[in-house]
Amino acid sequence: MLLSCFVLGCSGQKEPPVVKKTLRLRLAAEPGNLNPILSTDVYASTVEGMIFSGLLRVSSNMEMVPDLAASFEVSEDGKRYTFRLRKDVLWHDGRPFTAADVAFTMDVLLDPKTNTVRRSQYVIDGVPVRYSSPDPYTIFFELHKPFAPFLVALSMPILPKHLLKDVDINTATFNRRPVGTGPFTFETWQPGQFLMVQRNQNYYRTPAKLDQILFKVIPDTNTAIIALEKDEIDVLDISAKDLGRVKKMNPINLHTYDQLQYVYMGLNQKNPLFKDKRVREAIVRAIDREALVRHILKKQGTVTYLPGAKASWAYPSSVDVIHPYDPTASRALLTEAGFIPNAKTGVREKWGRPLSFILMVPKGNLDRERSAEMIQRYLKAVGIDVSLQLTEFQSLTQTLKAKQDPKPYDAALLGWSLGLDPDAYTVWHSKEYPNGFNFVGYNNPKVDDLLSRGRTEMDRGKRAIIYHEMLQILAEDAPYVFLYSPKANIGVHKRITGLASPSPLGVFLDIEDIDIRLVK
Amino acid sequence: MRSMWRYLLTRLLLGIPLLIGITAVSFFLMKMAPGDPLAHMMDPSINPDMLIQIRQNLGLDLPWYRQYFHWLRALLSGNLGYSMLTGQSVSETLVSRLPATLGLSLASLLVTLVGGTIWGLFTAWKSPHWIEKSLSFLAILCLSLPTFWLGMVLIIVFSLQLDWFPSSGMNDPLLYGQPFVLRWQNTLWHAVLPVTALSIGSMAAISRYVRYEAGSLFRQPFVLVARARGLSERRVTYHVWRNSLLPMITLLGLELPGLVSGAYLIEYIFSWPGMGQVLLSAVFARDYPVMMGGLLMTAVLIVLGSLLADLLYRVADPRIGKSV
Repeated sequence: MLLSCFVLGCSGQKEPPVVKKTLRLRLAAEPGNLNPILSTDVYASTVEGMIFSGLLRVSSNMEMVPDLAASFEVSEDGKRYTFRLRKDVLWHDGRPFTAADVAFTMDVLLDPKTNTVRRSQYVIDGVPVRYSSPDPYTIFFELHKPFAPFLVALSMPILPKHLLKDVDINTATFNRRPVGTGPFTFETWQPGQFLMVQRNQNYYRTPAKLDQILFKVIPDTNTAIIALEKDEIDVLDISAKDLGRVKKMNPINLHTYDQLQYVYMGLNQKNPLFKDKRVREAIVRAIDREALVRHILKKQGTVTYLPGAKASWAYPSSVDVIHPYDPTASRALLTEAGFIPNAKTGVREKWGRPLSFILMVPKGNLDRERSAEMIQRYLKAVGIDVSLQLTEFQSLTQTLKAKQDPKPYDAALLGWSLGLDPDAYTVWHSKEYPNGFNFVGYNNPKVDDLLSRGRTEMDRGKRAIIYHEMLQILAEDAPYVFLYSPKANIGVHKRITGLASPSPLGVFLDIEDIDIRLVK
Repeated sequence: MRSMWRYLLTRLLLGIPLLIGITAVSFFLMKMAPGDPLAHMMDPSINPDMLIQIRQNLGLDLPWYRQYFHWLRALLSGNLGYSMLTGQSVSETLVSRLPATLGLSLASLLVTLVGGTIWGLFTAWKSPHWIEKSLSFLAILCLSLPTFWLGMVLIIVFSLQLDWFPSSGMNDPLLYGQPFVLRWQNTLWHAVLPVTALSIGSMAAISRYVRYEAGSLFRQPFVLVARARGLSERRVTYHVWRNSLLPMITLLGLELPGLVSGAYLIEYIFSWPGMGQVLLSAVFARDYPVMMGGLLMTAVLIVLGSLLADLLYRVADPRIGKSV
């Protein structure tokens, strides 16, 4: 069998055929652009990860390790970061990489004219990070106060100063023809069709084994599965409903891994119904979350009892089940809170006001829509009336971000993707309401304090203890109903070798190790 | 002839206020929809205050009519603006996608016209009763097939099972840098299934029109006369075909803009790199400049399409030009 990934070099007959090792990946949509400072979609970051590199990178055990840096140290007080840079790094166009490029990237990030959403990571409590470079291979960062999540921000890809210093970064042609320092060089972008990157021969770490990586744009999931089956692509993310089909494909290996995300039902704390903790707890206890994972995720996920991801170091190794499924206890709690079933409707009420609310669900996400329907049934069983409101994502976010108090909604079914750092200040701190991501208006001084301590403590062990306590309180308080954390499934052709062991970072973490076994 | 030019000029000039009206109303409606290019960002690592700065940079803090006038002013100097999402110039975005969409649409237009006419004439022309019935039935069946379903079935049967055609895309990426002819052949190969999926429905529709039009024409006195004069059946059919063209011209004029925008589902299923994908994602992301660019282009096509149909009508039916 001649594998389709080996292309015959030239159509002329004299030259011997050139066999290229091509890894073929699918992109569900085209990247917006390939400038890592400007782009916001996951498709762009997939491609950018091959082309660019940052001062630090994430290791397989989710620690920050040097990449463009040869070494780095953080001062005792956590305010000063010193980076010694590698001297053997070349841009893809052959120019040497220096600290000037790092400083330039920071300039661009902090420039208000740059349309980047990443600026927030370099402005701590309103004060921009300061940086300076005494020589071409050293750079300092100075923070006005210790801020542990800053380390993760230092994996930001570095941009070449010599190519961008005189252009408008927002509209530069560079954004579609990038030049980086990473393991692959940009080759071509055929709009709507594919992107291709080639191995960087001058890569400062071990050059990749692959000759090139092809990113095919295939929007439709069914078409993508057929492409996998037809051996037109090598790798594909598989949703739970397609697992059975892919399992039958002989040449495909399935890999499963946890993700740093969780799905929840946020309850607006400013709504009088949800002010009573007993009602919130009753709602949690009325929902069989195990059943959601079984029926909707087809067991491809885990129940989240805490607002974190199991794969994170800040997640406790053993968790007591907080507010487990118990409809009897749920009914008792509601009765205790004064909500008595109406004999006619079956809906509980207090002082003539029925216990009913509207749950907003983003349109188009089938798993969420079906989860919402199941939640509706579970809550009906204990006498809570839920109406579902399918909403386009844009108008849902507009509602949640409305700068008014109280915000105009009852509850919303959403998910959070978590960063590598467990800091969740912007989601739970009382200061982040109403203008922030604490859109449920959660307010607990104890949690506020733990959040502040968690981001200023530099020691990972001590931070873990702080976050364990915080997660426990949040689970008890139930400002959200924490539902589940879906697992990711990825189908990879058997000839692809060198995959990393499955982790939330995926199986293609060390792209340099990936190889293609030649079989005839 | 002179009146023809005058008519053309008048119609084109009338098109300008029409376009301004269309774009203004559309811009207003777009602004009425909730959200903006930054609103979808539900990312706790982004400080909401930082977004205010970006909104200012993009001019999103201005009232809608001022934003519209900025757009219009830039348009008059030939600039469609930059995508708020990708930073790419809108004209560049649209131009890079237009050939794929036009290619797909024109190919399917051709298939639709030729196939539909032959199908219709064959059904109408003295065929045995059972053939006529089954062809008519087939037409109704094809008309009612949902495009996305048909596309998927074509992929499963002709690509996955029979392996005659590639499943998706416009050409094989690994042919990148290969001779032009080779890539062209490859593109034609890739186009077979999407063009088929896109054409079958409208081909069936056209065949119905032609069938009824021709069916009644075959019973007209002039056909009787032609046959009585001993004209060959081929000549007779030719005359009937010419006369059956009239309603099709109107249909075509109406279909032209639909051909550009209507291919979206097919583009999506077959990963065809056309405009549909760009425009739809622009709508979801509230990428106003790209939406407006696409809208303007569609509006221009509608205006030109109906003008073209009117002109063709005048050529095909001499009665019309004279009566004006």
